[in-house]
Amino acid sequence: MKKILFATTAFCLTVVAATGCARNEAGSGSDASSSAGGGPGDHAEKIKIEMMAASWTGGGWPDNNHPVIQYINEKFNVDLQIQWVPNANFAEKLNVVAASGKMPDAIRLDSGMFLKWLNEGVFLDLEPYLSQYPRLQNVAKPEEWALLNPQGKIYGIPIYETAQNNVYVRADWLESLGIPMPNPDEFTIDKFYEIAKAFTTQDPDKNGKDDTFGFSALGNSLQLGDLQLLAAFGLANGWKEENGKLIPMETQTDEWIRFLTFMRKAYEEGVLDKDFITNTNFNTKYAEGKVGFAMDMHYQFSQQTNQQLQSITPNARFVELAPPIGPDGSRGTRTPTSGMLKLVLNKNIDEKKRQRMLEMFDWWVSPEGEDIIKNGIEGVHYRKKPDGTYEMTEALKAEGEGRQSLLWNWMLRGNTNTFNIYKWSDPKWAQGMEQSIENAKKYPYKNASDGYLIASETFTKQGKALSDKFLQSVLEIIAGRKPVESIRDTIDEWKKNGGDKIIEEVNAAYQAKSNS
Amino acid sequence: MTNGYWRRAFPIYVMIVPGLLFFIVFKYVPMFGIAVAFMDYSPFKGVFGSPWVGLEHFQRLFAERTFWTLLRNTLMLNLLDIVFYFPAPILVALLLNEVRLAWFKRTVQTVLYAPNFISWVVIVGITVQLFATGSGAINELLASWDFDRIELMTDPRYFRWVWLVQNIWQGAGWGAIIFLAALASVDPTLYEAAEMDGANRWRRLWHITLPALRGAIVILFILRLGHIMDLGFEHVFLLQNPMNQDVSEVFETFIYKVGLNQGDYSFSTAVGLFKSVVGLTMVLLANALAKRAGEEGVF
Amino acid sequence: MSKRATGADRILDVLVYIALLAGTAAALFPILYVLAISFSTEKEYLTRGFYLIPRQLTMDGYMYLTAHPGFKNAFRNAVVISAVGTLINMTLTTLMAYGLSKPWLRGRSVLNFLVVFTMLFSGGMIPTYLVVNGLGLIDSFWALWLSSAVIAFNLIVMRSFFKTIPVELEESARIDGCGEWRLLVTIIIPLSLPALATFTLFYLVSNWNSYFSAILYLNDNRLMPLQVFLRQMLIEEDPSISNASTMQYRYTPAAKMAAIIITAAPLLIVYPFLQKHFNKGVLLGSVKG
Repeated sequence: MKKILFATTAFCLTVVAATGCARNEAGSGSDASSSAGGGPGDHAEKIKIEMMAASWTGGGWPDNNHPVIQYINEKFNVDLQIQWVPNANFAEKLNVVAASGKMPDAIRLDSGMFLKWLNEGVFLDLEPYLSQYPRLQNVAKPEEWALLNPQGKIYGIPIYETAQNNVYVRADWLESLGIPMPNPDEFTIDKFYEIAKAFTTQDPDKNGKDDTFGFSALGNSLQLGDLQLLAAFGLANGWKEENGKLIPMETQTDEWIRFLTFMRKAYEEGVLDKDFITNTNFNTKYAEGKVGFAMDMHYQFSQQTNQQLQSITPNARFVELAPPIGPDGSRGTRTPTSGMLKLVLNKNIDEKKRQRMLEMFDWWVSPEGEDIIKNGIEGVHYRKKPDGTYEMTEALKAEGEGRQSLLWNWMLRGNTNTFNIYKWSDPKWAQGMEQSIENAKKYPYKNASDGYLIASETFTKQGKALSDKFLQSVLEIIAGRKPVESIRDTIDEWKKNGGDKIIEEVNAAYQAKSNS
Repeated sequence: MTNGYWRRAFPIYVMIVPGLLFFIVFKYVPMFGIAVAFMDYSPFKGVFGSPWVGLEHFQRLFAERTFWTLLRNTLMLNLLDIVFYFPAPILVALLLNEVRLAWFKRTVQTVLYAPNFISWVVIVGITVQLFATGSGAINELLASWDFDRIELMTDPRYFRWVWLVQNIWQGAGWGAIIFLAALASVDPTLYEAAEMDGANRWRRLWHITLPALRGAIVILFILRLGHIMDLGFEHVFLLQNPMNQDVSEVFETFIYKVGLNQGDYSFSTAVGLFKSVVGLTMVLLANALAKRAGEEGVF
Repeated sequence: MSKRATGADRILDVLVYIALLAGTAAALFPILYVLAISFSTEKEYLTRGFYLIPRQLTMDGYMYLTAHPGFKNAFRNAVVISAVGTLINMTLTTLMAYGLSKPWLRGRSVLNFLVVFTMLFSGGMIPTYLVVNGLGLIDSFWALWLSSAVIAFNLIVMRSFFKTIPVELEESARIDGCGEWRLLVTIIIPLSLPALATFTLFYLVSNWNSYFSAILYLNDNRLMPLQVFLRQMLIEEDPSISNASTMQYRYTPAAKMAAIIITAAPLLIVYPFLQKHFNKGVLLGSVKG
């Protein structure tokens, strides 16, 4: 017994010592102080820069020795320390970091957090310095720089976003049923339903089973994941502007009635996936091959879903179409407001650090920066083939395409539409990607309240609860448990229980901004 | 004789000190944070710089339209849990105790304990898949037998039972471990002697097995009551959807929607404080009752 | 010959075995499913409904995870955190639980109450973080080891176990001139192996699964334990934010399920070693095995 105790203690002490040593070694390991050239400015001093961003599926890089980070370190003589925090816990981590006073030098924030801390005096005002960094300044339009900021100040670098989603259709099903691909300009909502119904009833995958349906939806959001359908019926993407005022979708009674009648019919006839209520994301549904119409972005389909489908059915493929045109001619596809996401800098950085960081970001968003940060390092992530084109290295293929561009996707990027188009990407495919973005631009459908909604205190306190109640009604109506007309009561309830106040507060913020 | 007492007690106090230090430093020192429930806290201003708002958050909580729904849902789930889930590990331990075949007992134990490691994401995911109204395996089976399909996940009537059964599935085997350990301390000769005296299974159970478990059961029960307002967030959150929210909305999910994401730390602290006070009341009551009944309480 | 196997007894036996078998099947089903998917191709997962035996086996899920940069490190971190953490946990908890189990100790009611109180009231995430930060523990495993050094629940239950040890032992030991420490180490602990094994297991599992504390107190990704590493693969983030700004890598179902198996496997392997300690009562009531 004593021997075991002694052995265990000795073991533990060794482990603790080893852990401690490992930490110290690792800490001093990244001291690559080669004074690399490149860029104007004095790089004599190595500066440590700490940045924090949310990480998504897949997580961040396991350490700060990633070749891209090393490249940046060398180029600018910095020591980049990136902290990746899983998005689900990002708010909590931000809170403790802020409370302990150890804010990183740069953080990528969403609009909610940004507005919450805007007036705490912790962000660096970039306005005085932007003119010195033209490439950085051009990463966004002036209104995007100004978005969410108080007058005359600029507290963060806007992250570029653009519309990319569209409606996609199973081209192979169209072929097997002898339906011609609809012309985008004639693709009405009735045509959409007609084809969707055919998908449901005519067994397009020819497997003898009655297991396909026209389209699906999500049950966890008021927009049901089918923004294109909402747009066709005139419902706002959240809020829309009308006669100088902002009105929310929750009050558009007539549009709701038309929309819900449509959806209810679809549910009854099986055209709408009956299990949509428990859907929280579409990816599996699409990949299972039971859905005819889908709405998402090009990368998703061309790189992932189609691959998954083709492992089941060789010529299955989703092909881009267009959002359906509603009875009054409206159509739209999800259009984010660029500039809602911000990369903020800590106010308390000294002049040298600030200069170095801005210099770094200036390069970062430029084509040269994009080349490295998005594609990775030649030789490590990709290599040149004898014919001049490029290909991924085995290492990158094994880890997954896109794992090298985390800084581009999750931290800061330039304003090119070359999302996920890499040096080694097939040029035709790349063209298709960029074309799809051009296509999506044709059908703008913005949330007019972006930037104002968060100003509403009632929304912050009750918004989600109110919209959940609304959603419950919507789902019950679609599933046939309540009559369509009951939406009038739901709308009244929404307005009474806080909706009216929200409208008031949002419009107050909107007026204030328009007048300034 | 105080001198004798200190001589005996000194090493005991020494044993307690390290653990006590932990509680003081990491549990009691941070308790100043409870004051946040009475403030409009900002992490930058800190606890000493944030403005005081008194009972405002509590007023907001009690004025909340859904407050009674939240309370009802929370208590209903916890009640179900106490009535059905709490005895489950005990039952498992008792059953295992009756097993003579050593290999059978060991294997079953290991298997029963394994579900504890499957995360809720997977458990709920599998349930959703099996019971999908359109294509779920179970519903397909029911349909082929000409029964009505069950909308397990969206029908509010099922929510509490699905939650309960999943809880039992995940926790019964794991929870049984404590009781098995208690039973392992029972002197085997007691059973042999009882058998010699002609006691049948039930009497052995009543007179030997159950008394051995009594201490553990009482303690666990009191502690369970202390958490009468608490529910595991992740499990409820995953099972929740707009169709069943009338029965599935509880304090934890409420706070998540209303507060933390926007950084409304003070409000969630206030709600937490409310829950704690209720829990403490329950523990004090239960402990007093237990002591009255001659049992050891938790303090 | 001391066993009368009555008919009623036999029926009871059968019922017990049936009940346990049913429970085992229920427990096993979903686990086998997870295991099956972890070895399945994506095609099979998407096309077949519920199945327990894949028609086509693939190790791709496991290969991907184990070859992923950072996996080995995360695994090693988890081992270190668990081993040292559990040692610290058990030492502090056992000592304190034993101390508080002495019925003649003055002030034990107060101390017990103080412990129970912390189960119900907590200062919260931020103040605790500030304490950990103030002690300079951030970004070190010590933050994890010390901030959860004792789980009150375990302490209280362990204390009640110690209470079941007959007082006569202590008396006779004292008569023999045995000090408290020797009493504890040479007599109490060997007698309490079932309880000690139980809580070693509990702490081990808790340390192995530590996720939130790791995210909160550790900044350096190199220190992240296995759970953090693997959870990020399982959780498919909210797709309503799925625009390119949050481009997410998609994992095959096999990889996701392999992640679960890999996290659970070490604990399932450790379990039998501890199990034999709380199985002492195996031969109860049976002479013929």
